[in-house]
Amino acid sequence: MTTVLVVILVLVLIVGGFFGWYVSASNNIKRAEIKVAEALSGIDVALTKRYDVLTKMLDIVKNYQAYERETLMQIINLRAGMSMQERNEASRNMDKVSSDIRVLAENYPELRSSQNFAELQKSVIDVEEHLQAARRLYNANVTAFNNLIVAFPSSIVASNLGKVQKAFFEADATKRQDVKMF
Amino acid sequence: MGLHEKMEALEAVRRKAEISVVIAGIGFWVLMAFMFTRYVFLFGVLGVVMLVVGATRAKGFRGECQMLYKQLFVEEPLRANFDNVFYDWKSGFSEAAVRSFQLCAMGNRFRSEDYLRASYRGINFEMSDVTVEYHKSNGKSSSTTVYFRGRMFAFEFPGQFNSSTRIYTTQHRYRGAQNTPKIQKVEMESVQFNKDFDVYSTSPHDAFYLLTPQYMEYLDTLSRRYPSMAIHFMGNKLFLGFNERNKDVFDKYDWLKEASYPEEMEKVQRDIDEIKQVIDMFFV
Repeated sequence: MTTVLVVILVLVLIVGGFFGWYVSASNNIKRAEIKVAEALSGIDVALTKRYDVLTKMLDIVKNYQAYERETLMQIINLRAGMSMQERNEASRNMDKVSSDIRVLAENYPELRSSQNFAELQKSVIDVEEHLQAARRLYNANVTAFNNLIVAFPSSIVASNLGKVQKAFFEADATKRQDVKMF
Repeated sequence: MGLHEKMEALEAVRRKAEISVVIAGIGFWVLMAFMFTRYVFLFGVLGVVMLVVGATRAKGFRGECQMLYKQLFVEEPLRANFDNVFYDWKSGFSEAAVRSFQLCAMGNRFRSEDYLRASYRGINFEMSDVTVEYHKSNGKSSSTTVYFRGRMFAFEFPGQFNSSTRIYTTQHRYRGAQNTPKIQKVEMESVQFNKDFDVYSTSPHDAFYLLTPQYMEYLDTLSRRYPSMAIHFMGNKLFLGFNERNKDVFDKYDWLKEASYPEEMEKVQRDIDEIKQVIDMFFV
């Protein structure tokens, strides 16, 4: 009788322990996923800010050169529910437009000296720094999440929950260079 | 008073202090020597008097020595190296200010001195020596734990953050309660950095914004020099704490030893250069 009780107790402990571990691992994965989602919204905010500043810059620039503003606006346009690949693409397009505007400003000293333009340039630098921070935070959280779902034994739980690895937000080569803080 | 006169004045006070220490020492040994003899009353009283007088006078001369030392070796170099200098070696940060810095746990004993307010390369800063201890006693025994002993800095920087971000080296143990609302531990992308530092922030985004890879390298370099340190970004303020228990900035190592002008000037200049390096590292 005692032996049966011991066996039952051990089984209860094993099952209970496994259940506890499963719940804990599942919660960890969900928490990590929430962090990724939060960081992703940070990227979206930064991209939107960058889009807004670039739009304002294009408005100023068009007075100096016949710029196909609408086409460019379409290129860098952001929309809801973009995939990571589309976000990467949008970010790369913004890099290109930003770089083109900088080159254009080099050719027009009066544009460079315009106060509005100078302020927008500062804003561009600021939003780009924020975008870098958002990118690094997102990628750090993605790394933590991906590690969690591929490492054994939490990979079993992740597989049951149907979790798959998330894509990183790539940085443009020029953006990989560090930004000056102050 | 010229340099020569000042050095002579310092040396005269030091000699008096030395004599006072010798008197106190002799008093102690007289007391000990006759403690268990029949002359204990006569020599005991003499010993106690010598000990008390010597120790009291030595303490007084030490204060005088410190004052002359600060005037002679510290004030002038500070004015030569920084702008808008205000230096008061007797005062320091208030306890409430240090509490608000959130760089260390607050015990029940607090001391702060060597207050410096100045600007360097357009960066305004304040600095002071701070000691925070926790003393407990149960009537039979007592113990004191040093929570922090070193320098604290407060800088203003041209950025505005609504968040609070704190960075501690893992060797900095007494950090105080994590009393900022919604504070969370932030894991940076560098595994090594996460081993060496603990980052807490109310906004992980701001933590990543502040801690650029270049900045993380700076902190790594800085932590080799100051293994126990704490940093707090709050609003447009940056607070820094270097926990250096065995270092006395702007003070003489051994105040009974005769002061050598070149040596002391070199030491003070080293201390000043360290401050400059910290500012250069963080702001330039």
